[in-house]
Amino acid sequence: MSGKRSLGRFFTEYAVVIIFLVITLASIKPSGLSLVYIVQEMLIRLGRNSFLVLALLLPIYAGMGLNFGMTLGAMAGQIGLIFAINWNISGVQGLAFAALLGMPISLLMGWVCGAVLNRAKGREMVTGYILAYFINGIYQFIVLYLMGSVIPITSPAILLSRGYGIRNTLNLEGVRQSLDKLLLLRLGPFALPMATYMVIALLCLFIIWFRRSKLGQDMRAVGHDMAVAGMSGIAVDQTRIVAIIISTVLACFGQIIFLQNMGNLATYNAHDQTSFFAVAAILVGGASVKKATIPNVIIGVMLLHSLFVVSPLAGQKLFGSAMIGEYFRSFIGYGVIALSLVLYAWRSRRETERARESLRGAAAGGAPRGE
Amino acid sequence: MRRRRLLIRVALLAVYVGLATLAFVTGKAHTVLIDNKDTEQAEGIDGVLVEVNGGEQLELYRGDRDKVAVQGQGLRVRVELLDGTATEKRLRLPVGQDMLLLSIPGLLAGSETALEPFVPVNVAPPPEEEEPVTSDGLSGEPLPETLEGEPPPLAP
Amino acid sequence: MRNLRQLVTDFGWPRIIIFLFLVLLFLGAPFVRVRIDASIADVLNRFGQNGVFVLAMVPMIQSGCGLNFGLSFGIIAGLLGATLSMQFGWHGFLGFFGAIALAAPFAVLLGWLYGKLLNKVKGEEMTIAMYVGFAGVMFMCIMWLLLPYTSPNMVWGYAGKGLRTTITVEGYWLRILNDFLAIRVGEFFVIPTGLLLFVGLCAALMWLFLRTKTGTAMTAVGSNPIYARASGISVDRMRTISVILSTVLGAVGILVYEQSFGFIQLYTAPLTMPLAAVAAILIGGASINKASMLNVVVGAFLFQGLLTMTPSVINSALQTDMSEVIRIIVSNGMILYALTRKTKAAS
Repeated sequence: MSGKRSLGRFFTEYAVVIIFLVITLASIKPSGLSLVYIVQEMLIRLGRNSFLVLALLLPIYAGMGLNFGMTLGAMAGQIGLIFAINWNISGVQGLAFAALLGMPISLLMGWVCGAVLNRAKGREMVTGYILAYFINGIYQFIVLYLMGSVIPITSPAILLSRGYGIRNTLNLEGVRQSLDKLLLLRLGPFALPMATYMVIALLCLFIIWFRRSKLGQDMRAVGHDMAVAGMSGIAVDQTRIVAIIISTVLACFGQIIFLQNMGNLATYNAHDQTSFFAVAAILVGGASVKKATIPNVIIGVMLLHSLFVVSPLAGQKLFGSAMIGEYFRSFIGYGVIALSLVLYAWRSRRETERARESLRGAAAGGAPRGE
Repeated sequence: MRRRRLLIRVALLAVYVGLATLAFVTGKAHTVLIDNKDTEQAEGIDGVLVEVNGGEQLELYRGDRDKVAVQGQGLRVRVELLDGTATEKRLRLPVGQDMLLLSIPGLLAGSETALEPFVPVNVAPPPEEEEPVTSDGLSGEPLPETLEGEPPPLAP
Repeated sequence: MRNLRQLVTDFGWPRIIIFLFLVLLFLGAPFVRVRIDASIADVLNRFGQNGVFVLAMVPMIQSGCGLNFGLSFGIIAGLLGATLSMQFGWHGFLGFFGAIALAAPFAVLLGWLYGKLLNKVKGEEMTIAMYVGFAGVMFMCIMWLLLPYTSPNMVWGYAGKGLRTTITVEGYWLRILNDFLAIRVGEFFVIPTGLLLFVGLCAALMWLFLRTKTGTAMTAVGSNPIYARASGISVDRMRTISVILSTVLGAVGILVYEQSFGFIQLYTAPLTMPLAAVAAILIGGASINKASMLNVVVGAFLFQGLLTMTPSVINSALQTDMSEVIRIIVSNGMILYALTRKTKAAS
């Protein structure tokens, strides 16, 4: 009897992962793509996206939900890249330079984001989402109007023909795949960007170490219960801001890693989908708004991107239209986020109700009501 | 205690600036034009093989010009003449310049001005582009249509 | 002097700034050769065009469901009504009101489902609404390609099936409300009387509804759910009603918009419309759990005024299109301001 119940609970806990796995596996055959191709794509995308998704861990840990404001970090990284391209710095040094330049910007952005989110406790996710749009407007203003006019840009090749404002697409020739190719390992038909993987592994180690540190434990307490943490002497607001700041800086680096793999920068759009993909990935990997682990990240990236690779072609074969495949994968992407949020909200409400009921039941001397 | 914190902060700042400068200087890419043309001091050589920083070997006849992309400050040029004699020279590239011109005849003659900055005269203007579209659709105006017959790109 | 300060804090600094900015734009218009009468006519048009959308925000705010980021569902219902009405070949008033009639059952059904969902997730409604709305729009994108529409006005010419991205309503019910009893004052200035009357009628109906027993119960649920439950009001039921109402208004809203704008926009267009309505009502002074008719009118007017005047004036002045960026900053800034205010009632 209890075996069946825990099986049911297993399913609701991992509903999202299971649904995703089923849909992905079902789409592999119709897509007509070879397994080798899919696996190679997976290896590339793991390198490309994992850093960004890892950036989401700390805010979840600190109870702030899904950090849609990570876009701010992505924009900071892009500004760093723009200057690296401007001064024609290539190779890994270009990436390092972009990261170093983006760091103070993302520190500031993270601080702003954290402060704003602290003023919207209980509504962090919506606020983060809107804040990303707001800062996006400021970013557009800076990059489209100030750069080249007020902010000196020495390389005319990256400016628009009117003389100021950065071009729509920047060719990242100089730094293209410089991190990936630094230590490329060829294993049969596969090519693994080992340097990128090592950077990601370093980040994982950092996160594991951080969780054990005092600050990390503080965050965990804040995430668990803000009031109790406050009473234990933890500076709740400050801890939350630190979580967001770290997340933003990581997003900055992650976006640079992402873009070096892509090879070009869509100056005004590249960061639009960043938070969507990262959030979808971590949720697909089994994380929830309150709980996320590193395996969630890796599994999530693999699952989400494998579906994204196969579904357009599967849609083409099944429905005769690649557009349907694209819409389908957006639908699944948004649907997964929605489903995870719903399941999480539903479950947490049921838990609070169950707790309330059991208190009432115990007081009345009766057994707590069933599931 | 406070002084120590200040010291750490200053040290971190120094490390930051140091790293940034290092990345800048070692990462800066230059385009070096390799010239085999007649200059004031020396004549162009009939046939010569040039190798820069251990890269691809370039074949230059008299009057030829080729280009090479270089990262960092140091330039190691290996010149091999038709008769088999080879010379190797090391040069330093100035940080500020993106494009430089290296005259091989000048280099072999030991001229001081063999390497000089190059300012391109005719830069082909980048292809015309439309103004970037920064709309987030909030205005209620239709987003610019993609090609006729295609649903608009996926937002948001 | 004290009253003035009170008025200022009540009205809120961002609103005042926007208002002054708008006045500035109007004052500056003639200097950059932008006609004031054409501008005012434009603003009135866009106010009416979007008015019902902003009105659709009110029920859910009042009942405590927050800002309806899931207005997309109402829009989808309206799009279904519009496309079906066109498929059946209905023109003129029959076409327009027929579209509303066709959209209504979809709106009620979608609203009911959506409301039930929101009831299960009290507290995190807004983010969920947003993403469920996005997923719904994407699902409809697939549907627009597959549903068996046949009217040549609507389907892709080449393939013969699947709806086009933008479908013109010219010849069907273009400006059917706007031109009704329109008053022409000079060459550039036409008052879209019918449109304004229709929007006014909807607002009046909403105002009356909020004063009925159900309406007041709804408001009670939003401002004080504990008291409401104690008075025997079913919180869930009121919330569902508010969601259905909001969705239906969303459907009507998109139809009003389409007849004025001139096009039915399918596929991904509904993704960003809820944000515009949210920004408008917040600019109008509403908070996350309280909204009045005044908020609707002021908000729609200020927001659309901003959207109309900024491009025409600033572009003429600076010879550059900075309006989009300013718009993004202002509207999202407005929403941010509202989200970060401390509300008195329980959220």
